[in-house]
Amino acid sequence: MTETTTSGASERPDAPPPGDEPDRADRAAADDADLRESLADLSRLATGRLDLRAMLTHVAEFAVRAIPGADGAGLTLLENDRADTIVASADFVREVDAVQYGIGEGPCITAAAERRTVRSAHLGRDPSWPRFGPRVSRLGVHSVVSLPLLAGDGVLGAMNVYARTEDAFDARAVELGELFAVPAAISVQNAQALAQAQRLATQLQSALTHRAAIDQALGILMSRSGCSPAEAFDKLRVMSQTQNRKASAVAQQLLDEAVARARARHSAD
Amino acid sequence: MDISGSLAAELKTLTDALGRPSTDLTDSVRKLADGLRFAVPSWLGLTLTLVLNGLPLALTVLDDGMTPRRIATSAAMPLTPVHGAEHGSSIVFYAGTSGAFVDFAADAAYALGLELDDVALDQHLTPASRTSGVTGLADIAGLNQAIGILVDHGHTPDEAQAELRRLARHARTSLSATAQLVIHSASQHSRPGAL
Repeated sequence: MTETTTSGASERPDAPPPGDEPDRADRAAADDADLRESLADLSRLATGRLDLRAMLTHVAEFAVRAIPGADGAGLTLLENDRADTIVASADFVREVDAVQYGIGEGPCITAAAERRTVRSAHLGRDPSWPRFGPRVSRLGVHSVVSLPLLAGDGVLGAMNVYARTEDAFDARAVELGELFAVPAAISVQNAQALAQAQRLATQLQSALTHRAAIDQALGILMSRSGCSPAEAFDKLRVMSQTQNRKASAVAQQLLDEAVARARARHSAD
Repeated sequence: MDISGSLAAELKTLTDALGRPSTDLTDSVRKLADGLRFAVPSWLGLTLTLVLNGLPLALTVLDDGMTPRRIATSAAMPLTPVHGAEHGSSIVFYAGTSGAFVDFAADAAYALGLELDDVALDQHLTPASRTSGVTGLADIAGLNQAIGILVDHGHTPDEAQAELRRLARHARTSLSATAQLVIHSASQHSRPGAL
């Protein structure tokens, strides 16, 4: 269960002033429409074969649309409890997050560490982050909502939504942000798992390509001396030690020279 | 996830072949397993198959020895469009709860630019191997050693591959068996003094 921390000197009352009901209803309807549209975008997110960073950036952009009052948003994914992948919908968000992770203090770090939504209406005067608040306030950023991205018992990271005005996010904005954060976390974790699978496949393919050169060089040594694969490998290791070069480099040279000879023979023919 | 035994040894061999201190395949497998367990709580394992020069290499990672009996659902998708891998390269995920991959498969199809029909659900309920490990490494190594032998005999690598395929077709045998014949033949017809 998330809690909402509201910090700052003055709170915007969530009850509308008398006579404002129609405006408020219109605004709520517009907010709901924005949220629906952003959720729909979220579900169509990966149509363009996005990589993980691009996909996260889109989630941040959709969050700006879904959460009323937002000027920019960023996502931070954690790896071993440390900020790993950080993306932003706008340059000013990148600046703010650079301050946050530079000094190791801020709303995103709190939201992820304590698994709860964090809100601040006046960052410059917020005692929660005495170093972070004044610095980002000088950058012209005054309000924030940070939402943890939860997956089961774990925390994937957090989403930061910033505004330049003071007191930009009311309880409704927080509620919409929390609604948005649930499917966002699912999309993020699916994308993260797929990106890891792609990375593994690429690494595996690269390892096999490197091994292919070594095995082909072993074949060359076997052809020349009639030795077994294991004996050829021993020969390659001795050559590597004698030449003080990596076995893979020695193997590649053996292969390149043999291929060059084969091509030269073809040219002569 | 605990990665030990033969899988750990095989991943170390492949990591060593990469020669990049920053890349550890064991670490990548562990992160992938942890990520999948996050995304699909009943996740039990995966088989990643890469086809290289016509020969498959399959990396199977299973939760434990009981996994094959507990698999209730699977999602298989081709890797070809993403990696330039050869036809037949694929990844199959296994889980213990029916329907566990419905949302994940939809996201994966979009992410990989596939049609939904390209993601096969529940068609691979038996893993390629009953235990975690890498299969096919020896065959791929043998094929490359045979290519090296033919390169030393004056073929370019492409010609060497074509020649091995021709020999396999002619003898109506597999590429791997043909490669072993070439290796065996080389051990009997050494060219002392050539090195």
